[in-house]
Amino acid sequence: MHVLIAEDDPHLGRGLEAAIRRWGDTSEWARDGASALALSKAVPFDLILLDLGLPRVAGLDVLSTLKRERNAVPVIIITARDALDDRIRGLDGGADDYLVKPFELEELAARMRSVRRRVTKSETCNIEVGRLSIDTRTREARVDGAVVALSRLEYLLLQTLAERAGRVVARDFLERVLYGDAGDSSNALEVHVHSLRRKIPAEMIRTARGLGYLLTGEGA
Amino acid sequence: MIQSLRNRLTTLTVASIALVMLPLLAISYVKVDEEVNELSDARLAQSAKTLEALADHLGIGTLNSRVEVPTWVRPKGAQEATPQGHGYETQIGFQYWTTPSELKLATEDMRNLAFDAAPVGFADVVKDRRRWRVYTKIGDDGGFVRTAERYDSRREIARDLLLQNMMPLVIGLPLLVFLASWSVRRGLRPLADTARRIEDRAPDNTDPLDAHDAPDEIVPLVRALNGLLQRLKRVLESERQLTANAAHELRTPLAGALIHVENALAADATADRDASLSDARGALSRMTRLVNQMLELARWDSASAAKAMTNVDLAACLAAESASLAPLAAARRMRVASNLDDDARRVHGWEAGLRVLVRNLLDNALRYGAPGGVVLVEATSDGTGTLLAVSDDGPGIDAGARDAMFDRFQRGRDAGGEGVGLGLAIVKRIGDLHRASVRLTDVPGGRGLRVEVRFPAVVATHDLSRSRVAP
Repeated sequence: MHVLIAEDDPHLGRGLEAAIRRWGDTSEWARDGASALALSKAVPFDLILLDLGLPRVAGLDVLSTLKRERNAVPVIIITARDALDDRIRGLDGGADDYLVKPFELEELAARMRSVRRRVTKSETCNIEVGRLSIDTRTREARVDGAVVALSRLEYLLLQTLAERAGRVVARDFLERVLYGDAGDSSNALEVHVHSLRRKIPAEMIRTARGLGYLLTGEGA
Repeated sequence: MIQSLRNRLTTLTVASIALVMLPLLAISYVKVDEEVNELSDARLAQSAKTLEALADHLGIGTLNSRVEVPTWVRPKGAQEATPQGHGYETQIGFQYWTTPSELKLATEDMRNLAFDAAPVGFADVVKDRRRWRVYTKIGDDGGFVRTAERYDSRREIARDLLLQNMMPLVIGLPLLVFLASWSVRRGLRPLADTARRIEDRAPDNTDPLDAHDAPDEIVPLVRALNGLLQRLKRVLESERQLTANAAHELRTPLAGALIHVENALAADATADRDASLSDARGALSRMTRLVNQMLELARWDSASAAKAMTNVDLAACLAAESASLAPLAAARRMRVASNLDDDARRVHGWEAGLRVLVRNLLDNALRYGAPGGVVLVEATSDGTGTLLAVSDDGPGIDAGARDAMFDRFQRGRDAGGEGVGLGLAIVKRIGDLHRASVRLTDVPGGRGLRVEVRFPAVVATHDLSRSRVAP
């Protein structure tokens, strides 16, 4: 899962980044509302963690702009404001969940898993595509029940494609997920796709030339 | 001073009535007295004529000796009017003279009144230390008839009449006092109602009072009260906002620290754990800074300007504070330069407050100035006071956003994350306590932010005397 952290506090932002990395997901960090909006327009995030007290553009305004622009990305509000009307305003504004600071990381993890289930339309933390199944909690991928040994980046690549199975995933998005927004101009992405094709049935990963890659369970 | 409005109104009402009634009574007494005198004079003349007719008819002039008509003296305790006579008999009398030297007929008490004692016509005569009204008439046969009446009997009639006139007033006055007091109380009831409405309000109810129910006279009071309530409401609202902000500001670094600790606990690699712990320390030190600044602000918020001020050496404050901020300056490769005029080195104030003020100005400049730059501290003095200015060469603050920077928890737009947004609020509060104005401006001919604190010249005499005593 690729997460946008919209948070102005440097310590909390860095902590969230580290936690999300530890859970095997990836993130990008916007330190104010304006750059959060710009990023969310450019990158198809799976989730936004939105602080309400953002500089430049306040969190609730970010939320209403997202909804106006019909951006369907799920949003979890993370805020210090715990008054009931703040919660109601946040949830009415289209947020999927509301978390009050300070919070237990486990709670955030559980809420992120619930968002993931909604994204992948799966009842569990498993993603199944044809003969492939991925357990996102243990970060294990299996083909026909047998565990496939994957490097961290290979796993990230596979999970990202599996979460969007049947749809073309853009190259630059995959590069962002794997290498961060600095990107990587080399053809490292091709290298990882190539090695992944040797570990899972190769025909599952199709190349959409000039666009990106697509994972499919058909014909496998 | 009568404090009760009701007593005051009652007293004024009764006093006004008395003020009008007393002269009226006096006038009425004078008028009655005049009427009684006229009536009695007419009666004297009438009696004289009757007496003359009787004297002519009976031939009193032909009598050889004088005849005296005895007067009945009322015994003590007897009624005035009795079958034997009337108590007033001693107060009226008559004489009949055939010639000016021959008194033929007289009442007992009039026998020794000389003929020359009164002229013909009406006259006032003093006899036996009493004043008499006397009427002397020349008879058609050459005799003289004289009738007389003592003035005090006339007075008595006038006095009786006056007393009878006064009687309703004497009885009515206590009733009037009672009624006036009752009316006033009743008239003031809307005032009492309004007072009760205010008294019955919940202590935190800052809704305006309804001015429509109030009597016209106290509508201005109700309006003034509503204005006060509105200001109170704003103050309460900003207090509430401040508490909410403080909660927000404390929760965020707390959440950060918590996450870093959890990350450290879950980390597999030592390097990851150390990085998380170091981040946790960063979050906690930010929180410490925040708590310190909040306590500092609370301290100066509750400080009173009544404390004794001394002459404080700005240069010493600056030296001490830039020394304690040296690590921050070193981390950002920055330098503090100062240019303090000799006559501007001393400021009248509290040393503790001025040090906090200088520290916050320096801290801001060192945090937001350009890395590797210079923070310039200047102090100049003129007749109007002392100007302390701290300039940095950072990005500055847009002119439109400057006023808001004094709000609590307000951070600059590009301020990054380390500031807690209380520094300028503290500077402003301490400035207020010193009656100094604080202003954000551009650095002349450069970029960056310049904060100017203008201390007023000491004018109050007691302050002057104190500053002379101070070293």
